[in-house]
Amino acid sequence: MSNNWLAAESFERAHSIISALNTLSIHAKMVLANIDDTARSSEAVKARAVLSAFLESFGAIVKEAERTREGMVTGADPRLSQLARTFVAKRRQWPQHSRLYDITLSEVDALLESDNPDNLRQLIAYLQELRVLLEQNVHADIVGLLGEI
Amino acid sequence: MIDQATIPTELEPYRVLIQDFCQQYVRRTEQNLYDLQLGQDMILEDILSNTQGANRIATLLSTRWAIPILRASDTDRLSLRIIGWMHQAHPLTATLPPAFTDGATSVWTAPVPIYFLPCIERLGFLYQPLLFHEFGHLLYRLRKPEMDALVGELQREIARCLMPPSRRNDRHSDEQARQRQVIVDTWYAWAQEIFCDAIGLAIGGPSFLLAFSTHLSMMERGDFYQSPADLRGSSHPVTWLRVQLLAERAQKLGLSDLAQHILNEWTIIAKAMGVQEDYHGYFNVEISNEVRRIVDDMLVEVDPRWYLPEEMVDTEWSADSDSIVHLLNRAWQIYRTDLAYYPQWEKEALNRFLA
Repeated sequence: MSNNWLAAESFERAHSIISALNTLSIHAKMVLANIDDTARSSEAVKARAVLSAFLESFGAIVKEAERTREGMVTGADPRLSQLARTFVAKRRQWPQHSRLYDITLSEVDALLESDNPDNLRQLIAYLQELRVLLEQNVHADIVGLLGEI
Repeated sequence: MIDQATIPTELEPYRVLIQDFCQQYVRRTEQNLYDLQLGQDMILEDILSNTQGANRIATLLSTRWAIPILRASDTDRLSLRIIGWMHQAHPLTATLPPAFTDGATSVWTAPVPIYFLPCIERLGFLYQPLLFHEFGHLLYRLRKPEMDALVGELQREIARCLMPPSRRNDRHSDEQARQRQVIVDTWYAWAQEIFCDAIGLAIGGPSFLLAFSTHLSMMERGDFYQSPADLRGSSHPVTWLRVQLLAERAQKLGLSDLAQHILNEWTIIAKAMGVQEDYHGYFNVEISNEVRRIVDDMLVEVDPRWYLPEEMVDTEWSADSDSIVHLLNRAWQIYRTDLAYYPQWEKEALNRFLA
């Protein structure tokens, strides 16, 4: 009996989040550049919901990992736990150059709902860094699912 | 190719689902090409990321999702029927189409479930109950927040059990903490496997117990003992431990004789190899109690369809009135009491079942 289920679920999660993140990033850039992107509005609403749900659950895992020195995480699959520990380790680095690691969940929610140009710029930078973090993780899922040749 | 493939009728709902999935994929790819034609450099990195995602989906479509359709054969019908029955018997899965292909026993739970059984085992009845274990993974996924919360509770209890009575503040203490974390992490996957074993037993009764013990009994030393390095981050508990936990659960369900018989078999092999039971801190009596308690709660949470007393009786299976679980139990009864007659019985029963 193999553990395909772990890699498949982790891949599905990462794929749907990265996809949502790309939709939001494109939409925010188009709005900022005053290019009509209303055709994507309904997709952007769905993407916002996907990303918010992920950030809420991920935020809870990160909080748990921060409580102990060894980064104890419970009730989360190994890939997500690892992502949370990577996040916590990067957040503890000083000096901190990335906005990804010092922004709060409620601040991200506010950025996601805003059309203000400054907020859109912050959102775009945030999404870009979050995507890098997730894409580093998704490669291991793909290798876990398909192996390497 | 997917549209034109010749498939058993039991697989038709899965084909419809994959066709719909392909259409969504085409729409997304068209959107990506449209975005590219906009000529906006600022969104190129997003388009590239979407393209990478599309490549991954195309690869998975070719290597996994299309396989049950493109490699379908009439011999898939037995497993497809059992998966279809299993899905329909539970409200969480009633609308999910059955899909099945060759491979090591496992399941892909996302985005649509695909079950795998080795190509020899899938031809007959005896190992079909292993699908009930795999179904457990699907139930877990469909109740993931609640199940993760229960597994989290178990992990915290395990961490508490592993906490030394007094703590030092030195390098040794750091190492202990790291080791504790490794054990707690490992138990995430272990808890799900033990839960899935319990689901298999709940649905299949004796047929699952026998299929499980026989299929997993490779008689390798690793089935009885693993080094700390092998246990670290492993996806499944040591098989002997799983057999013991399952036998204990079976005894509580009134399957004492069978459970004892299986335990004896495993103990004889362990003794022959001179294996000493040692889980290197990953398992002890205190952890055992917590595992039992949490797995009971997990079963309540997903509420599987339990096997019925009449599905264990020693009477011939009737296609008109008897359940699949009775058929699988009957297969093991014949196999264990009249091995020479079994191939003939299985052939006839298969014809009646698939008629």
